[in-house]
Amino acid sequence: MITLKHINKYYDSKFQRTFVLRDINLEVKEGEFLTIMGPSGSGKSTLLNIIGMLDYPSEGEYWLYDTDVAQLNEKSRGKYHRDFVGFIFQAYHLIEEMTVYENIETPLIYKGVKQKERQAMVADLLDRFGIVAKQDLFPQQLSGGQQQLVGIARAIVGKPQLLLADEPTGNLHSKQGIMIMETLKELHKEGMTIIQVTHNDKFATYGDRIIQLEDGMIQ
Amino acid sequence: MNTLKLIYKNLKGSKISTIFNFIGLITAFSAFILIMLYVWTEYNFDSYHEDAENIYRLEIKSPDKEKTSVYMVGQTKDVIAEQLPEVVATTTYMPWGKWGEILFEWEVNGTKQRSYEDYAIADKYLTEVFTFDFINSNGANPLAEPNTAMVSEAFAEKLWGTHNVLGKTFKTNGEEYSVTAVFRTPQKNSVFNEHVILSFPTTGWVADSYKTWGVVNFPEFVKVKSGTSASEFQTRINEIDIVKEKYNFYNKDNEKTTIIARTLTDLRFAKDVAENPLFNTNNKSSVNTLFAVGIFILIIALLNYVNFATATLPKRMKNIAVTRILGNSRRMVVITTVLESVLVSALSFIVALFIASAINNQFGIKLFEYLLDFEAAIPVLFILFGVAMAVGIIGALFPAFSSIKVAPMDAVKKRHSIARQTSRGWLTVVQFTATILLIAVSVLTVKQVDYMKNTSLGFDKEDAMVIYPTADLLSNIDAFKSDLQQNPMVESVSLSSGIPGIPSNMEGFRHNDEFIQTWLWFVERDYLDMMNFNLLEGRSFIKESEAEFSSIIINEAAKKKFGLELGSTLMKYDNAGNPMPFQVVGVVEDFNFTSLRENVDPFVFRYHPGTFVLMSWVNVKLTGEDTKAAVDYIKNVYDKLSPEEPMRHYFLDDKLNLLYAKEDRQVGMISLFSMLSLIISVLGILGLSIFTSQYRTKEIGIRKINGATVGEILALLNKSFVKWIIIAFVVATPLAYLAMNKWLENFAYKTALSWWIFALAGIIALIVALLTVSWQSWRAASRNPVEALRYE
Repeated sequence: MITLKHINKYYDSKFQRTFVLRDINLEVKEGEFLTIMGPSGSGKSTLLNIIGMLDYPSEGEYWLYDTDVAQLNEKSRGKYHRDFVGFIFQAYHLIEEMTVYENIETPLIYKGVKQKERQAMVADLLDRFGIVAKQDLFPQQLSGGQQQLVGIARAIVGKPQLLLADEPTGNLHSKQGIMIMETLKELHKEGMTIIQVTHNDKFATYGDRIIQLEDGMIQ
Repeated sequence: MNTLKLIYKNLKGSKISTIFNFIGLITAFSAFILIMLYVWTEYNFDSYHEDAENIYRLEIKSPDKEKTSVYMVGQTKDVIAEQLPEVVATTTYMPWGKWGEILFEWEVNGTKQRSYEDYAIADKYLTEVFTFDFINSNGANPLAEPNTAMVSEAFAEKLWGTHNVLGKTFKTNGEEYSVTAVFRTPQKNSVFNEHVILSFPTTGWVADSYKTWGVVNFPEFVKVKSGTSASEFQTRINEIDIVKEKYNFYNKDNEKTTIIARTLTDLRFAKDVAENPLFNTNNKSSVNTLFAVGIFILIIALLNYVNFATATLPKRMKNIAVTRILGNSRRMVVITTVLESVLVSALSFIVALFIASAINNQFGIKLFEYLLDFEAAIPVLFILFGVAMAVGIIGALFPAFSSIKVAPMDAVKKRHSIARQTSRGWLTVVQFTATILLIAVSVLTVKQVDYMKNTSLGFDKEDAMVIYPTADLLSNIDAFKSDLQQNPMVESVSLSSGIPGIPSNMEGFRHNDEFIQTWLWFVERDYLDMMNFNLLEGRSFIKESEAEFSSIIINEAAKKKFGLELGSTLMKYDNAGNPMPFQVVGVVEDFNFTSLRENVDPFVFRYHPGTFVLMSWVNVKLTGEDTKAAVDYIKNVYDKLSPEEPMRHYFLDDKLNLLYAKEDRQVGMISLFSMLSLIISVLGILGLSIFTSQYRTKEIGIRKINGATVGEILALLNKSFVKWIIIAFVVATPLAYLAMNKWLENFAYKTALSWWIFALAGIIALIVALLTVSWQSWRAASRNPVEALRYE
């Protein structure tokens, strides 16, 4: 599904070039659950952002199926974000002024889903994650684990094919972390392609392939 | 000291809001200072005269007329002075130059000089009633001797290049005058603005008519003892038997003519006085409108201040909270916040003072018709400064108190939710309500002035040239006419005693034992054709017929008001008391012979070529081709026939446009100040949108990652601003409607209050606001979301 060839990412300053990613070659197959591991500053998040089209590689090719991502315009990227991919963040990144329900609903609005359908889809997920009672609460009124559940719900409500999770358990204590990982595992079983970034060894094993990043290079 | 340092750091810390605050406040204060000084000056016209509140102008109000007249019978003031002990002094002041400048001749180093000048005539008691600031003067009573004159410093400079001119002489009106006093220019703001005042003649028609009870011609002023009540004084005047008897001539049915005593300080805003053009009057309601505009602008600026202070609050609150955790008291927090705002206001006010003064020096005459006197207004400036400080304090109190309401730890932790609560839409609504109101009003003023300049006046003002008459020209008028007629560029030439814009004199007639007064012009037959007056009934004058001397043509207004018909007879009595009948032979459609501020009064044309020797205008109608060549040709002919005086002329349409100089100035002022208020409001929403997009950075990032496009983000950020402006529009429209209706009441002829004025004002505000807000929103929306989220 995703093919990265010789991806470099660097920042130029006056006298030197700082590499964040160096010659990354990576293939991700449909239905795969990939874990990217590595210490802080190894380029994990940058790699994930490039895959999620939130950042651009400095050099190299990025193929999504047979599309050259470099050729996509702003509009197609928007479409990719809307229809193809879902994101989960360490800091949840829920919109604080919106209720749980509204947060989950947001991507559907941008997709142009009709209100009736939206109601059904959001209700399904609330039910599935056991947070129906919380739907009218605001993010700050929830525990971290619950907030991340809402984050996942929001990421998958639009039925993306790819789920990108940037340290989804980083802010959670272990019990909540396990709950989140179990949820991801289940999604994987249902056929979702997932790429997660983590430095928790235990949670890394939930994936069926692990790659190690160090100093921007795959070991 | 520590507090000052803290304030400095605060200001530096929120650069955007500091800069915007300063720009907004300086702009607003500049406008506020200018407006308030202008209003203050307007309300203080003539107050510089000693005992100004005890000086009155006499006016006569006849029952059949809407307006009062300042033309009194000469003896009136003398009788009043004789009969009423409270009268201290009286004087006659006749600003005749306003009807037409006259030729002055003088010598400088043996060379003859000439020019046309505005002037007034006054009796020797002038200085007992009015206060003059003399530079040089022969005694306290400069006009005591006949053929003397008081001149202003500027006039002296203009004629002789120096203000040391006592004893210098000039000729005018066939008399020689010697200068006995020089007064300082500018005279403070006064409804009298003549630069040369001639002594009252001792012989001739004016002197004679002053002594009779038969001629109404004299503007008279009376000064009374202080403590005299104005209304009682007026009542006592009207109880004087001689006055009652002499003025009963104008009584009608059971209504009596009354004499009105109008306080000197009220003259600037005197309304409904027939001879207002003689005095430098202004429209009170437009001055008041401007006052309201000044207050509006101040409110807009105040709201801006509150807006910025509130918008920066969360950021600041964190600092405040930290200092409070470290032991700062609530009181100190409030004091610092208020002090900061007072400092900002004070600094802005001082800068604004310089800007206002610069604007005044540069554009004062054009905007206000005179320069504002900042020095004289120092007490007022102090008050304004006080108001500015009050604005500062009020602006600070709200944020000061909300910043101490929140518990310190909450403020440190929950920046965003506080930020969200503090974006106050209603402030923007109020600002834009005021702005839309001002824009709408300025559009209307432009429209009204345009309407007055371009509306059909009932005659043809194009290519009509008016030449000032001279004695030589009038005695050679036949030669002048026939010479001009030979040029194909001249359509026709004719004389008239009045012209549009200068309606000249009024005349009384008896009609069925009723006394009626109308405007009266003596005209030649050709004049009616030339100006294209629309004859509705009857006929025009018949050329060269002596029988026509007793024919008159009236306008519709005279027909309606007095019930005249074709064939009606009007009577006059000559000096010997013999009756002279006049017959109505024609009716013309009403035409506007004064400005469109006024309704059309009853009007009569008389045919009487003999009268032209006294006073008349030479009207020349051109074909409109090569106007310059035509004027040159006419000048040539003129110079041959009237070599003594250079030709003075103007085109009627230009002169008529000058009638609206006052309104032109109003348009200038209102447009300027609504521009300023738009700028201040725009600064307000610009600041607001910057803060909004800052505080929503994260939300925007999240939304983009969830598939929102830049357009959707733009719409999201702009939506609330659009909503506020629409609310402002809804609130402003009825207010603007009321204000406009009120303003239009000043005009007899009103432009339509079209819907598009309101729509235009709303759309201008909306577009400007959208552009401003979108600039910020676009920056926020097109940002890479990863960056936005990295801030966490």
